[in-house]
Amino acid sequence: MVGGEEAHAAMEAAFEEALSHDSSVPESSYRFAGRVASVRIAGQRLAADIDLPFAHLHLSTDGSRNPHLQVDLWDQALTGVPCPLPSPTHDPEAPGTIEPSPDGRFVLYRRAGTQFSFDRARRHLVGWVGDSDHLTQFERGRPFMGPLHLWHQDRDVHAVHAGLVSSEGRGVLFGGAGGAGKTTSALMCLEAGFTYLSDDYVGLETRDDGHSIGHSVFCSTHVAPKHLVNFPFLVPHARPGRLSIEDKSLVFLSEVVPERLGQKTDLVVIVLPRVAHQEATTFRRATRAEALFRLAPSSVFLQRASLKGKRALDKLEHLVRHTPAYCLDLGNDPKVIPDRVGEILEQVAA
Amino acid sequence: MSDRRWTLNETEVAAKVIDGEAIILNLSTGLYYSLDGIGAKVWEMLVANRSLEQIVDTLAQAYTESAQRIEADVEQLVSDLEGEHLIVTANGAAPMTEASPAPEGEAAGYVSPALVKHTDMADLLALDPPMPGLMDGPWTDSGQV
Repeated sequence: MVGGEEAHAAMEAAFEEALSHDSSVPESSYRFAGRVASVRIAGQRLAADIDLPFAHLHLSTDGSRNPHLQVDLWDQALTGVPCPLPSPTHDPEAPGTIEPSPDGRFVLYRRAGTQFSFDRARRHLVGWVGDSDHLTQFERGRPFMGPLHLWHQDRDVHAVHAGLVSSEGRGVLFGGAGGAGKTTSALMCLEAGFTYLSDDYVGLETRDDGHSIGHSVFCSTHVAPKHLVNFPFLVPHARPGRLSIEDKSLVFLSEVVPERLGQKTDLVVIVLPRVAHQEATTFRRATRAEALFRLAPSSVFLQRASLKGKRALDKLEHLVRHTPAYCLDLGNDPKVIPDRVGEILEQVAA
Repeated sequence: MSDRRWTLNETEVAAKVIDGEAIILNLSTGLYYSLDGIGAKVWEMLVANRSLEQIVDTLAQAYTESAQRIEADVEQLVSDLEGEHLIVTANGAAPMTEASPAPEGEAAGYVSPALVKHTDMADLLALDPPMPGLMDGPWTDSGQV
């Protein structure tokens, strides 16, 4: 099976059938990277699940007229409408497949329990969920992440593997590979009063005047049990994984601190945390090469398509050329991280 | 000395040189590489289609090291870069830009270039492979790739 017009049409027809089985389909609007997306979901439980990681981007106004992205999803368990396309695997722990049409217009994302077809020209995503009760933790926390990243890329907003917080409208981007301390840094800053935008993926938009803007996508966080003890305010909201590969707990911050979640911010500094085997948490100015080296690999490889990867590297180069960067060597006490970040912001402002 | 020239393996590789350090990413394998100092200078000249002779001459003018050692070092680096599929032979390509001026004030600082290979991202791509067939089209907002 390859993504294409025929597969997309079959998915659209199945969604229309699901609509006829669910008379109370809500239509919600969100703002992704400053653009309006309209979401229709046949299946109330699925609709509630999908809203949680995007709740901070929810629009109170109706965005269904000429949206920049239309998302249509249905839940088979609740509507009885099966997916018209064969499943590539029944193993929920198996990686999925991504199959673009020859011209790249349509892309089909398939894994056990979910299938999505994205028409890039019409900016239309249609998706099937076998049973919303059996979504993986990853899919709950980051719904339709692959096509959503591609839609952002087509808008010239590139997904960067980074955390993002802001203070008084001044954004701090936490860069680094997995395990560097992005999540710990972002959540510690959240607890200390910063506005939270992300701890893993950020939409990066660069402007010709040198400014860069970071866009929040998901307000979900995945925290390992050993780190959860550092964040007692999250513990009552933590949802442990069910599969063997789900070794972290999922928390929707829209359930915890909805008033402290942001949608976008100007990026004024890059902070590169790293677990250091030392007592104190310290910082120093980083070179532009260090910043690019710490930010680029996981972000560029995330883009999946080589042309997009090159464009993402261009964006990151623009970012590091115009934005000061600091190395943050994390010591034994994570609670001091917000103080150090505050000091870095003071240095940048000076 | 060989007049052979090279160019970036455009289909698989993205690279930048910033502040004298090169970061080179193989988008197909998830492997990435770094070069600093003289290695980054050689990289810039290689992807600008300089010949081996031109590269060695440029470095020999800038450093007190012997041309023989420089030539051997550059040949080794080219071999390493080709072996990792980061550069390919340029077919009759003329230099993309004017020859780089010789680096200044570094006469005492010659260090043999060494390609550093980083493998920590390869597992990520093994789980989530790239999509070489995904093309851009008129549906992108900016028209840029």
